[in-house]
Amino acid sequence: MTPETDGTAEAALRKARATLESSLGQVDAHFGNLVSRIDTVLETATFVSPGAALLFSRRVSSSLAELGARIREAVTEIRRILDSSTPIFSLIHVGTSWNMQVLPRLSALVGVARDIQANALHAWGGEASRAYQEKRWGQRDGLQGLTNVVKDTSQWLVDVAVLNTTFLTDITKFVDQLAKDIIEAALEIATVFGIIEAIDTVAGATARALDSIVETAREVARHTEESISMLNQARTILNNNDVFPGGRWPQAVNR
Amino acid sequence: MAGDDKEIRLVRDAFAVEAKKWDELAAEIASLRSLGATLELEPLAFFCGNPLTAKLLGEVYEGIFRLIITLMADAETEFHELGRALLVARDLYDGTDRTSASAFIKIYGSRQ
Repeated sequence: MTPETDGTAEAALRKARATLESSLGQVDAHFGNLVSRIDTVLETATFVSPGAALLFSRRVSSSLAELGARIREAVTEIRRILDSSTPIFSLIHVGTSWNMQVLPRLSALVGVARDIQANALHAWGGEASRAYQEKRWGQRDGLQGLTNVVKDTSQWLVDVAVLNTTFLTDITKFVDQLAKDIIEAALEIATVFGIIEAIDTVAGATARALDSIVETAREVARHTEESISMLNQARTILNNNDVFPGGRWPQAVNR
Repeated sequence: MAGDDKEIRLVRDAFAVEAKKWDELAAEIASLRSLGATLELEPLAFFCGNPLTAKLLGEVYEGIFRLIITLMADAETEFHELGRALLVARDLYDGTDRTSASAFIKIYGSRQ
């Protein structure tokens, strides 16, 4: 991961959130237009046949109230998702911090631990010197193992953030489709008889949008849960007794 | 040459340089541990459209986070110990390659 890709992850999340917010606004606006269109058609019908229009108006009023409640329910659910996505920025920030601030400094320690600093120490021979070499390399391996764990962890965090961003982008498509269905339904209302049909159409579109969002949420949850195996894989190094004896940092000195 | 004071001094100075290296490594890993300790995450940060999944991911991260911080703390301790061991080895160094069992224990301790 580089600063560019981190910037990309953050920019992608920002864009996905803004697009979803805008699409949500479109649903609100177009539903308002649909209600206005229905009012206009009913008003026109009143001039033509006041009695029939009154009866029809009562029926429409009840259906429209029900549809309004469903639309509000959908908008509330999508807004909850949108609001819940704010902390993903901290996921990207933490993943990036491990990767950009900790990892380079940590990985740089591997070579320092391995190499003897002053050449004159090579004149030190015998068993104690050989033991020091083993202990030095043990610390080096520990540092390399820790470096790998940090690297995999930071990548996993950014991967989870990307999955979440994709989730927002995917549900935006359903919200856009709902807005489009509302526009089309409003355009097709030519007479009072078309009103009930339009309300049914939008109610169906709203239900489909909510179902699709729930299904997508399930999918993203499944994918992120699967990603845990990657992190568990990173932890398996702890089971390697050559690197971390007994799952702990290699002990060089035991006083 | 064994017993040559100048040679012995050179090697002993090298022990001190190497011991300082481990102290510096300990300081660096301590600094990284402090930095790492600020990188905790609330389960909500994992979002995923499902609070239970977010909680699960949060627990997994918490586990690996604690592991990294613990390993860093243990590394810091061990680096300091190695630095000290080298200073003991320096004091015992007499220009020969012989190390008695008791000297070995003084340098590295009694057990592996």
